[in-house]
Amino acid sequence: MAHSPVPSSEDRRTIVCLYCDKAQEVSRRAMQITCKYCYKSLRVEDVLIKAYEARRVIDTCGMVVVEKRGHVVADRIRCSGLIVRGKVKAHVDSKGAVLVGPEADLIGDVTAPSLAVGAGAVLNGFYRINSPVETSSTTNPSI
Amino acid sequence: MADNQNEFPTIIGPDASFKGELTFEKGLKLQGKFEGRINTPGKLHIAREARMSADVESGTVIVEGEVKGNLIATDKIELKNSARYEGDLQASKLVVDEGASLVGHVQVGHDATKRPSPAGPVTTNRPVPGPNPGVSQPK
Repeated sequence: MAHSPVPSSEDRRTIVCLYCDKAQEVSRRAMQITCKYCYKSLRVEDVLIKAYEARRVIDTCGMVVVEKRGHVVADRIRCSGLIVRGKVKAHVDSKGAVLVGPEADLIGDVTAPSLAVGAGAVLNGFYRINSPVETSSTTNPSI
Repeated sequence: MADNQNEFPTIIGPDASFKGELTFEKGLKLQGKFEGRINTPGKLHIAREARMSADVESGTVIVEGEVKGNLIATDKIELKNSARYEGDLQASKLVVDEGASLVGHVQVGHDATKRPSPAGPVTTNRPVPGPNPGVSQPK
């Protein structure tokens, strides 16, 4: 079976490097790449968790999806987006939205540009939810 | 208009500035500045132009403006897209609109507001040591 060496534009997607924050196009079929700016190895596939998993880190430029029966215990999750329908106990650093479904648990610190929480979800941790353009300080000196 | 008056019989207008402790039953709409403490079983609405620096215990809190301080809501906290919130929050339910800013400890769930919280910031039994040096650690 012959593969064309250069994927077509529909076959590509843009990912943001977890280390240097620079965007680059990769093939949709790629599972792991080397960042062309910082030369770090990047996992780009989505991670689907359907059962209990204990890991030190989950680093991916794709999405992390924890299904209803999924339970993740990790030191750190770095991803481009997180969907929690089950349970997560980890420090989460997401480049995209974090969605916590109804009846889901998310225990640990969270840094993300946006957050959506379903009814009945349980959250516990230090949250930093800021759009990327914003500075870290939200204080107003006039208060 | 009449509905709004029923829902929020008390309004702190845009040119008003309040410093101190405030208690009310039904609802308060804050459009000006507030500094201090609020205690209510009702609804607190912090409008887009409002600035608040306070510790709040309330039934429902809707934030559209800038808030600094600890929020405890027995029912729900809503952070609208223009909300800028810095502090610790405890609530049964949390709604965060796209564009809202939130920095602080979050405790959400049925039991979040049932636990007696000591005076001062909320401390959580965080399993993962975070990179935030200013955050209180569990004993």
